[in-house]
Amino acid sequence: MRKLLILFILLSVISCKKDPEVIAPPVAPRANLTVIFQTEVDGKAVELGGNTFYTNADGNQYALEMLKYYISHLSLISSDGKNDYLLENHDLVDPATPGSEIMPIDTVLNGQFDSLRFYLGVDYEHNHKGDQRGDLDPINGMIWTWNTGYIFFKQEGPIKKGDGSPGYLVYHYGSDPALIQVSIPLNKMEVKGVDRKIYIKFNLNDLYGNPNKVDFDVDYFRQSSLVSDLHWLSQLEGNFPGAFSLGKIE
Amino acid sequence: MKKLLPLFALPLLILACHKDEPVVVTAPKATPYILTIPKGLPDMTIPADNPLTVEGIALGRRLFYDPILSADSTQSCGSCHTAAFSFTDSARLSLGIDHKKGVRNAMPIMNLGWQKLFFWDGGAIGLESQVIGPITNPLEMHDTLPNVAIKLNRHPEYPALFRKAFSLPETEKISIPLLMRAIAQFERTLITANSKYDKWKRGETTLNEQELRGMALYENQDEGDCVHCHTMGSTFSDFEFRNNGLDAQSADLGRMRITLNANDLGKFKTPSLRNIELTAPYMHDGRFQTLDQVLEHYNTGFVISPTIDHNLSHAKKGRLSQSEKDDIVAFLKTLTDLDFVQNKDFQKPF
Repeated sequence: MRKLLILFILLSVISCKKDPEVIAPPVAPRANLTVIFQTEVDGKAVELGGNTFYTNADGNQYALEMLKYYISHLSLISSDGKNDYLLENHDLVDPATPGSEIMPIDTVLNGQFDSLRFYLGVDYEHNHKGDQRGDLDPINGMIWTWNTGYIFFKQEGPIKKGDGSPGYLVYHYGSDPALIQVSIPLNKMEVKGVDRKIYIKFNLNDLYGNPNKVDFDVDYFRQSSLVSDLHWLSQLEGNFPGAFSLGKIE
Repeated sequence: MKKLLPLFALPLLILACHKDEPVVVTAPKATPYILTIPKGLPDMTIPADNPLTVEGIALGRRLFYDPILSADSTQSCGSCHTAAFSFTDSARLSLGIDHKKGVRNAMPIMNLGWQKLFFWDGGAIGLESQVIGPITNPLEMHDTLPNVAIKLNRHPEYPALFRKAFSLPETEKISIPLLMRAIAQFERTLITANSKYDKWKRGETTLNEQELRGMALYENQDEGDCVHCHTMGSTFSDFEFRNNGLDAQSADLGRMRITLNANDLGKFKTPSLRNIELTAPYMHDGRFQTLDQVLEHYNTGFVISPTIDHNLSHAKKGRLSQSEKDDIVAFLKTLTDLDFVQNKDFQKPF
């Protein structure tokens, strides 16, 4: 018993001793990445409130009172194809809610990455279920209460028509076939143990003009719910992928 | 239920044995509810994330009848879905809180647990999802979901009832998804399967000669031919979307409103014929007052259009005599389940 007690004291003393100093490895094996969506019009961050007017490619003037969109399944694609990061996220980006544009990809192993992929919209499984929490909670006003599914992209605000008269734009874009895949080249971005930030620009004027020019005089009230909405839907489907681009990597 | 009691008693006994230990307060567990499926109806698939509980069903029932879900607190779900009419309201088109008429006839609420798509056009994909449609429709209860959430969270009783029903901790707020789940739970319990027809199927009663003649006409493809769409047996609907020849050019897009497919113009969900005696007026716009008018429509009144259902487009006009129509109506009335419409568990709890 006594011997055991001595042994215990000895062990206690040893455990209190300082560890020998170790030389920190020069590079941590992994880092955290953050993807940040910058919603803008031709390089300037969007302003909500309905007072700042922008001009689209067709010459229509528009201001923003509400702008929200879903980004889902953010994926980081590695150059060697062995180190991909596939998130299952559905994030609602809303410039009125600071922080909603930030999406972390935690603990990425060091390596080289070719592209960032994501979807504009909500995947089929989540689009066919309404009682969901978080960013998909119906309280966010991004679900059609009379129809199946979520509004993928919502813009509302005043416009000035071609003849100068005031109008109001309502765009509720969605439906299963309207889900958009976007791929942003990352130019073999290196991760070497240091946290990085990837800024993705989303330019509304590209959405309304590149390559399809959207005419707000004709298309000012679209809810993806009528046959007459199909032309507008296909115009936006064609424009969405090019409206996202790589801003910078820090 | 009795089997569950010892399980619940166990933690209490353990706690009682450790009087000196501080009691850790955790969220109380809701009591699981085992839904009894009557003989003759298929198994019901209940979403794994919304299992039925005693407290959840009771909460859903209370919410169903509470006008708090409308903007001015004047209408509840039960305002247009009254038990006595198999949860319809007997109006051609219902009036919303702003005294504006809806655009379609209120549908009965019964045996919904076996349906996949809801509303006349199938716009809602699940029982949970359809809950927020009438609450936010400007022609119906005309509220907003953020406002409903605020009202429920401020209510003196609802926060505790939600926490109990969904086993939530004290800090959890009421959310819209939970509202959707509670009402869906209650609606899954609204099962009708005790009509004269059901009793006859179970060998408990007999059908009279006229009712049997009507049933034969219902099933005869050259006569009534009701059976193609109103599937015989448990559901009395195939739940497909069909154009039943009401108009040459349908003013209501019907299923096309959802699919944007021109082939779906004027197509509506086949309604179940259970309790059909109680759910007048009939059709998506409530245009027919009586079952005789409905049968005359299928006998002579249907009009051909590009999307009309092929079962009807091939039907011979004038194939039914008045007495044959009367026989079919007599059979349809055997689908009335008074136990269902009088069941106190389904009615307003306050």
